[in-house]
Amino acid sequence: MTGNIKDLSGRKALVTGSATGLGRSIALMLAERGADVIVNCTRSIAEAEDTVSACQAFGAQTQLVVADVSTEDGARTLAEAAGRWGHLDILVNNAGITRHARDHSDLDALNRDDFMATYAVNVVGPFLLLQACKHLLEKAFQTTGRASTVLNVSSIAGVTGIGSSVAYAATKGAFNTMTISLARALAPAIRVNAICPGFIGTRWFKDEMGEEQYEKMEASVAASVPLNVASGPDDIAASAMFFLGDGSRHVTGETLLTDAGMHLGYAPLKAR
Amino acid sequence: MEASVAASVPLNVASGPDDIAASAMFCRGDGSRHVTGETLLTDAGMHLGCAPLKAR
Repeated sequence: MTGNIKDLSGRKALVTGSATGLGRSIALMLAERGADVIVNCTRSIAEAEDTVSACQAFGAQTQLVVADVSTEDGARTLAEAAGRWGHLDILVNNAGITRHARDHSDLDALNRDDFMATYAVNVVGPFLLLQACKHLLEKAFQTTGRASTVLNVSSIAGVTGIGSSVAYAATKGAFNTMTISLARALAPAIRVNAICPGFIGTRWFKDEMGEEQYEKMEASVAASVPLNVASGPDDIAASAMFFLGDGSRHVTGETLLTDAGMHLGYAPLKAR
Repeated sequence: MEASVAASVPLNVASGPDDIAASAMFCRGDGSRHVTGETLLTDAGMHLGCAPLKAR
């Protein structure tokens, strides 16, 4: 965590998928900087309650909304929560899923349901939520004269095609494109940007492969990326905060690669 | 010219030095510690190619 400046004091924020991992880190940093936060999850209620308590410890007003963003009901429920605050300054579309199928040549590793489920959460969900919250984001702009800000948590997979599955990479490519379309369409009232992390050390991987293999993977990632680090949630959240604050007030339609240099394609010689 | 820029970019603003410096601060601070080799567009949306319909 960085800084004690309450520069986001009074701003209303919604972070989807904020029970654990990157979403939790972003929620906490928002709270630390003075924002009020809606925490969201679909299943991890105990963890989400913990995120809520941690946000409250910074003095934030909070709401916990259990809702599946990929459904119209879920999006509406989240928008209703934001509506109780009258407007929404900050929306972080962080919730995402994958179906792990790392061998991209094995086309039988994914079926139609895998593909559609991934698309529903990673692409359709953010659209439905924006549809439901647009009037609240515009209200914030009308009230303050400051554009509200939407941040889409995409992935380097959407740029390189490398990732946990072909379906996952395809959804993140679509998410990046949607970011650009909506940035153009919703300006000047709403800024829309994306971050594209590479590796983030979260339970996403730990659940899939177990602790020992995870540690091997973390070391291998650190050795292979130019900055020689394995990113944790706080490292990526720190970049996310740029887009949620006033520092990025003249930035929209950007899809920032926050991948410790992974997209540069090779590690510096000394790490090989 | 300033008015014409503001009318033509999506965010409907003409950037001043402080607006761009605010973004530059991200690149030189700890918030970007896991970012390298990026080229951040700080152009009030100019690269998006056209202003929204209502602003034309």
